[in-house]
Amino acid sequence: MQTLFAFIRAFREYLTLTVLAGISLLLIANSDSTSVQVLRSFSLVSLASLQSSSNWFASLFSSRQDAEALRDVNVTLMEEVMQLRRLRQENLELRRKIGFRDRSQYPLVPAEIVGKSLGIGQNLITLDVGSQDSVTVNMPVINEDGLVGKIIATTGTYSIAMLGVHRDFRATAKVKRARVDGIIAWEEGETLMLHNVSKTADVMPGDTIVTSEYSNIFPPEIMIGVIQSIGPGEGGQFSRIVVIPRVKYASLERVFVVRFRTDAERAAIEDQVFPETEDPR
Amino acid sequence: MSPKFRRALSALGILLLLAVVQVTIIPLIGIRDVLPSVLLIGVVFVSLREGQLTAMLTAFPAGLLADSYLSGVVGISSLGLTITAFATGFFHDEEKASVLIRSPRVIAIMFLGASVYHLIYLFAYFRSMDLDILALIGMHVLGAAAYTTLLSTIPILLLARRAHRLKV
Repeated sequence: MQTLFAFIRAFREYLTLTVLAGISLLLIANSDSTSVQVLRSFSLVSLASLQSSSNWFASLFSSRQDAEALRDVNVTLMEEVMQLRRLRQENLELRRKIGFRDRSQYPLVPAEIVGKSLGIGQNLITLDVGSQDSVTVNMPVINEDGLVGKIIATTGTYSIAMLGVHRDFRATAKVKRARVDGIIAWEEGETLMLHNVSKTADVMPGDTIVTSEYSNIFPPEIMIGVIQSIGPGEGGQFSRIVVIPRVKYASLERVFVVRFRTDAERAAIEDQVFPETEDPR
Repeated sequence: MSPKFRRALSALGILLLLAVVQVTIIPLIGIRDVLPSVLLIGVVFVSLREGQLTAMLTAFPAGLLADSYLSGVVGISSLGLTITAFATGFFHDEEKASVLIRSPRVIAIMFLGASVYHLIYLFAYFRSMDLDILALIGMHVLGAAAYTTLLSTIPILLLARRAHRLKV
């Protein structure tokens, strides 16, 4: 017996280590047992209040920094969102224009509007294309919505176009459904008037107005607008037909110049026979 | 009550207090999830001052308290701390204990103890998982051991300074 006590005394550290390590391993093996869970819940309840106090103390320093960091991120993201919205709008517009350009049967020269001279009945725009781009006077200007105007002056790299809402603008046009011809001209504001249409002609509000094949300047079937109202004209012989143009002149940014050349021989003979009745050039 | 038993009881009280500090305060000073162990520092000091037996008997319940609150597996810290107390207790010298805990050698012993502890902890915890053990050892054994050792220099330097003043 004494030998046993002497052995235990001599190796007590090793025996203690063995016992404690054994208990630890036993606990590790039975970590999910009920008794261990009871011990754990007791510890959690005891230390939770201390833990929450330390967390509160830590949050005093971290929450302010977090808020500042989030504010910075927020500003950056807002800027990115605005940029993306602008790019999306531009992308959609360009896609629409590219699609229109592909569909068009005439060669088109894309142009950016670099200047606008807007007044009552004096609406002119300056384009960043000129004679170096094969743009010449009287070439039609259009966009994806329809007829915009026509070129009235050019230099090497710039040109000036008269808009459809200019007081001097005229174009032969027709009602697309009834094939009734007339002359479109500016009326007031952003409305046009279809002149020279008989009171008995088959036209009604909502009819589409397009350019006529009789024009020597504009190619046929280019959209101009829609009839808003029809009333009696001043002379009693013609109707007063108000047309809402399809093109939003106030928000124009990019247009196309149509390389539609005037037939010089036709123009010459028409000028000779009825100089006052065709499109003014 | 013998002075030795009284010292053992105070050591137990200190280690239990350090266990509470370990689970409540220490997570606030972690660097990339690497936490030093003040409980381990306490155990190493107790083992150097009081010897293997006292250190193991006090380290076990303190480790158990920390385990029951922190880790998913109860018994890991108590196992690691008990073995560490046993290992570092070999450096205990009854007569030179007060000198030893004030010497720079403690830092080396601390690093050894911390490495042993974190290694045992890591292997016990991740024994059944398919993980990159080398990377884990690099970060959670050597990293945590270095951090713990670094933190232990504070009480060592304080004690050394105090000893220096007493000599003067």
